[in-house]
Amino acid sequence: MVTVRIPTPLRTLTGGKSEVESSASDIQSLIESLNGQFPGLKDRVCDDKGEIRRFVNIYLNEEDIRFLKGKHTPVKDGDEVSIVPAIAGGAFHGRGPRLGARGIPCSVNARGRSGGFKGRP
Amino acid sequence: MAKPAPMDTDKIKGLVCRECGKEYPAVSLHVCDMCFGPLEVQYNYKAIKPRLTRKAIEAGPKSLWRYVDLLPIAGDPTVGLDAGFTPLVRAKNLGDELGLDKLYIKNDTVNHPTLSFKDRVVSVALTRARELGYDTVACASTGNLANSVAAHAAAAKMQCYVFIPHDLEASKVLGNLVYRPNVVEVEGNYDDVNRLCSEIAGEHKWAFVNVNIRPYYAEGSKTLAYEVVEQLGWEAPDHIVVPMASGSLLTKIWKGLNEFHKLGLIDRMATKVDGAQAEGCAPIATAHKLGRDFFKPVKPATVAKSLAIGNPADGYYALKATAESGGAMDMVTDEEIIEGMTLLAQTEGIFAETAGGVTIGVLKKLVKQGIIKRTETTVALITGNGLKTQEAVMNAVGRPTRISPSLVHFQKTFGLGNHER
Repeated sequence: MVTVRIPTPLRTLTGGKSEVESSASDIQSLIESLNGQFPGLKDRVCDDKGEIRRFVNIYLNEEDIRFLKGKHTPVKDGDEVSIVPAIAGGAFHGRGPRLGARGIPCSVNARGRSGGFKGRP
Repeated sequence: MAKPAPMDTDKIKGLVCRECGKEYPAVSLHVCDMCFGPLEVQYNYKAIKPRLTRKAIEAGPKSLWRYVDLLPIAGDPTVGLDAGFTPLVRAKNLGDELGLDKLYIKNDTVNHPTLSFKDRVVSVALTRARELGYDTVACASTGNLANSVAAHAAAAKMQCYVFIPHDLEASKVLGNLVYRPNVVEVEGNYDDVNRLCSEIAGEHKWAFVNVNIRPYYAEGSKTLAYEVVEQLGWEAPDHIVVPMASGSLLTKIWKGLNEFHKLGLIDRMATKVDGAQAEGCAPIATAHKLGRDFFKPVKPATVAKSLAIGNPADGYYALKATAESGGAMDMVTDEEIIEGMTLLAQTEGIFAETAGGVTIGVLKKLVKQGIIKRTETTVALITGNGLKTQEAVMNAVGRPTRISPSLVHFQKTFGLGNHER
């Protein structure tokens, strides 16, 4: 089995799970099979031509698959695959003080406290 | 606290994802929640065009705010009113040295108030942060940005946290402390600092100028391109050589030139935008050399600390902009950086920081390779001041000649005769 690490903003799709498993043989089929288990996941990771989105990094055992064989990179039992948005973290919490949480992934609800801001009530 | 102003919908449509095109309101947000692409400000050029004439701009303030119609703020500027509009120096001596007939130095070593181009982006970012209701500003920085955020926050009476790597030049550290912000030195390189700041931005509702305010902040860099064009008499140059850290500056130079062209402020736009990096941190220039549109992050090891970003946020767009413009990229060694700094100082009397040495070093290479031709109008962007990176040139500039306070000793030391009247 291949272990797949899911980033916070995609955990709404995996029922909150940060790690899932797959028996796929390459990255492309891994994404397809995850999409079967967690519908909608492929759309977030791939564009409408099925290419991995530019600001989504996928690492196979710490190596960016762009420097391997891209989506055709083979994976095998015991491998670790990580899906990591290229622009980190605060993205999903950094809304202005006045604005509601419109269409924000779960990470905000889990972590988006209002500590520190002393602006508007 | 002032009531947050709504966005001027006449000027700004909102934010848009550069990758998938999803639209967002003009809030403090920088990443698309669908595809993870970066967001950028979308202008209503149709509304802007009729009122934006050369004459109107020329009648504006002698600062970057003369281009306010193309900057993402709703009301009047409130922070950094004197930033920008720095000299465009005709660099005849350096041109002679390198073999260029029409070389210009855009001299942001004298930007107000903290002597780097960051005063541009920070003026825009803090004005917008205020409009969005923030009273605390912050940044991840390789030095110059922190200096500028700290200074502007002091003047704007905003709370301030600046995050820097632990190994910066002494003047860049002091250049924060003097304004009394919270200076946080992080044990790690810039990429570590940046990652930490993304996490902090998720926990605290602060205006991180280059995290959640980045779409607004980055637009400030366009003013360098606008000024160059205006100062050349409303002409776009043939080449602009731009130092690259995150790649944002180069991307915005290209955007600014294209905006001026689209808005009819210049008739001809055939500028090639050339990117410059240090060999010890050249992820973008390396990708360009390999013909790739993606890059491999690196662990920086260069004297040009202000450019030491191993995982450049706008690397992809910088590669794209240079390719679209037909420009080139190159890199220089630490030795060539120091040579570039001293050459600029000794030919033009401009003391640039290490990033300026990178720009001059790469300019020299591109001329030598025939990529920039003698007759082409060329502008080198010099973005920071050498007094902030003195460590870099300390061993390359010699020492003063010490003498006793004696005329004879002086004349003897310098081999000057005793001129009697």
